[in-house]
Amino acid sequence: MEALEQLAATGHASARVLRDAFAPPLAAVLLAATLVPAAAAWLLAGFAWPGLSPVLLPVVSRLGGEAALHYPGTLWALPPMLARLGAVTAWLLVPLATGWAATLAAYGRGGVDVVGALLATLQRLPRWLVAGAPLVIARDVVLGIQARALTAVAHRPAGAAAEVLLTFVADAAILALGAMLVPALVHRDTPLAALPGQARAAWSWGGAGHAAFGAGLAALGFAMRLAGDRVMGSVIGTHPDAAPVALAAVAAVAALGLVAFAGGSVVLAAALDDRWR
Amino acid sequence: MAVTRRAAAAAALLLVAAIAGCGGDPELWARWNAERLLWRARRLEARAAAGDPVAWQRAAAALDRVAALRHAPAGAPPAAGPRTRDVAALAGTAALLRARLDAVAGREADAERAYARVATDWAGIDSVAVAARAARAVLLERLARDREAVAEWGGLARRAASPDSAGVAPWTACRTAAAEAVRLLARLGRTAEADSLGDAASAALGAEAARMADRTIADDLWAAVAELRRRAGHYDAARAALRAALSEPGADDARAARVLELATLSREALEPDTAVRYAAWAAHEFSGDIANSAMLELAHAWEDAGVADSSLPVYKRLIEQLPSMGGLAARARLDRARLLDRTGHWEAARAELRALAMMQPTDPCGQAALVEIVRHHVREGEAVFARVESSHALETLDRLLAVQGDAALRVEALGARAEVLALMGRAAAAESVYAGAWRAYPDLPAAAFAGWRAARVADSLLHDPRDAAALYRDLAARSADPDIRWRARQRLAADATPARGTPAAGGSR
Repeated sequence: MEALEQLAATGHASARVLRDAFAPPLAAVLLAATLVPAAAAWLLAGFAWPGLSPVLLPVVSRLGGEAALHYPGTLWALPPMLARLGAVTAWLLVPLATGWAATLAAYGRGGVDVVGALLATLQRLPRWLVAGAPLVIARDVVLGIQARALTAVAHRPAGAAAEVLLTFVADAAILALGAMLVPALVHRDTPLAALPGQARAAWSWGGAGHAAFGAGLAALGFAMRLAGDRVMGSVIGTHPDAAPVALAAVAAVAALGLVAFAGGSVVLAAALDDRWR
Repeated sequence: MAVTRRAAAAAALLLVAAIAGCGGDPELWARWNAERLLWRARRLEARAAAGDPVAWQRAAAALDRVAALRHAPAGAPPAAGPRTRDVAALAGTAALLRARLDAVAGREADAERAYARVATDWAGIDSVAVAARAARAVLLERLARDREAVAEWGGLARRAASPDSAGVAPWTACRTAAAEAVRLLARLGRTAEADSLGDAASAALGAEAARMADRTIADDLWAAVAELRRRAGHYDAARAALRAALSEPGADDARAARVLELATLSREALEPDTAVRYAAWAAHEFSGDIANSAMLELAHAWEDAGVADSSLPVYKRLIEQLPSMGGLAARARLDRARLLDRTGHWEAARAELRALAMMQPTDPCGQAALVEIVRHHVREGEAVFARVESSHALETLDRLLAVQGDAALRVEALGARAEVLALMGRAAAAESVYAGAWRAYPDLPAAAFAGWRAARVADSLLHDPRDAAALYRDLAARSADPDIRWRARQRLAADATPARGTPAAGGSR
């Protein structure tokens, strides 16, 4: 398939998944991936409530330090506290949610329901973790370097801009690699040892499409993180009580990105594969 | 199935217990809520202080609600946990802010009573009680109740000598208490009592500093002793206290500032040679802002010692090495120009003054440079030059006033404008400009000084006692500078005394 055709197929696949994400069954994954971090934010914000403090006081103290035990320090510290929690749990939860969304995108029209897709993903969780956890951890590292480079732009513009560019390319590459692996992982009969070969094959018949998909997601994620940081900073600084709501909105955007990645990978692979054959 | 039911029942029981708050810490919840209420009230208070009348009502209500959270008359029950004491301290902070809200709104008598109540109600919490007493003392002075203010500061000074808390706020207030009491006593003419209190407080603070050697607070206590001794004119004792502060191992951060203070004290004690040594020490041993300030001090010390040849190169080095737009560079340029003028190098001085006025027109030193040029020509009797330079200065200042909205800067520029007018013999115009600056920005201490100058011009140059008395009354009631308030009250009292004794005197005016 020509590169331009691949790009057109990528655009169509992305648009279709974004539309499907708000309708059942993918909307269930979107909802769950939004509610889990939002609930964590609400629980951490309300740690002082007598019903929660026996469990959450030590958690908040450990995650946010002494300042997080006072108002409004708790709410100002919510984003970094959630980021720390995310760093600890992302290797497990992100592959699980990706597998769930990918299974629904692949088999949802074939009659697999939301619960069935979740159970199937849980059954095959080790496969998802073996392939997905290293990519999630690598992406966390890359995004951490990118965040630090963004804060250093004012002090050393040239070096920091180069770092931002390099981390952007690395992020796009990780997402493209993930997009090539997801369709192989979602099929139960693909052995783990065959995954590198599957990825190579996907690159050979749809390299331009996958690269564009990875770069597009990386660009959207970059823009969303920049806007999110700006909005969070101004909202939480002046209205700390709005922090859990703002974080829930950020979680919803991140969840939409995750569903678009997982569903888009499956739909894109199918589109490129059909045309190629 | 039975196991599942039991597990579900246990989970439901746990959920109910969590919702009911069993096993939790109600004190933590109470503190968190108190902090939340106080934070909101503080935001409203900031808006109220900025002059929003609607916010004032809401802030007062919010602060009253937080202040009502205190648990016992003395702030918190002695057996209360640390978080309950935190809540009591938060409530006390709210009560302090509530009183300040009254003071900002001009209800100073109400605020004074509120501070007294807070000091009593939160007597067990230093951070609240001492701050309330210090704020009350300041208000008492504003209300012309100097004797009560002395008693309040004196009480705080005695408390400073027997510390029972390591809170920051109480220490800050206690350190200044003795100096404030001594100042007020001296103002009331009770000099013997002031000396006695100063000696006693110095001895007590010094003993406390010695007892607390090796702790950071010892450095602050020695600094307080030095300040007390300096105000009493005992410069040797003041320097001894600062040297003791320098010997404290915990004083490393403040070391540079202490050496600089030693240089300043030596200059005040009219010992320029010693000042030169301390300033040179500070300039060579330390770096950054403190080294630059030390170099300026060194130049001043050489000047005091009458060695202009040594002073001028120091000024020049400072001007060359500092960024040209900084306040310290402007100060150095102005002082160098004044020294050049005094030593008969007017051409060089004028070049320096012109450069300063052109490069930093918004700096007070830049405006002072314009005045200096006019002053020189008036002093030398060069009327034509004076007229030309004054026109140029007034035009420059008018241009600055037309584009600047910053209150402090406008007051400075108006002061410079009035000074040029006064130098040119236009006393009525000068008085009008000074009075305008005071009336436009009565909340600024610099504007209070302008008001004082207006009253003095009206009194002594324009011979207009009615206008002067109106300004003195205004200053006595509203000045942000307590010293000018007091001086205005003194002037009013002095004017009223002969008028009561000799009715004819009033008529003869």
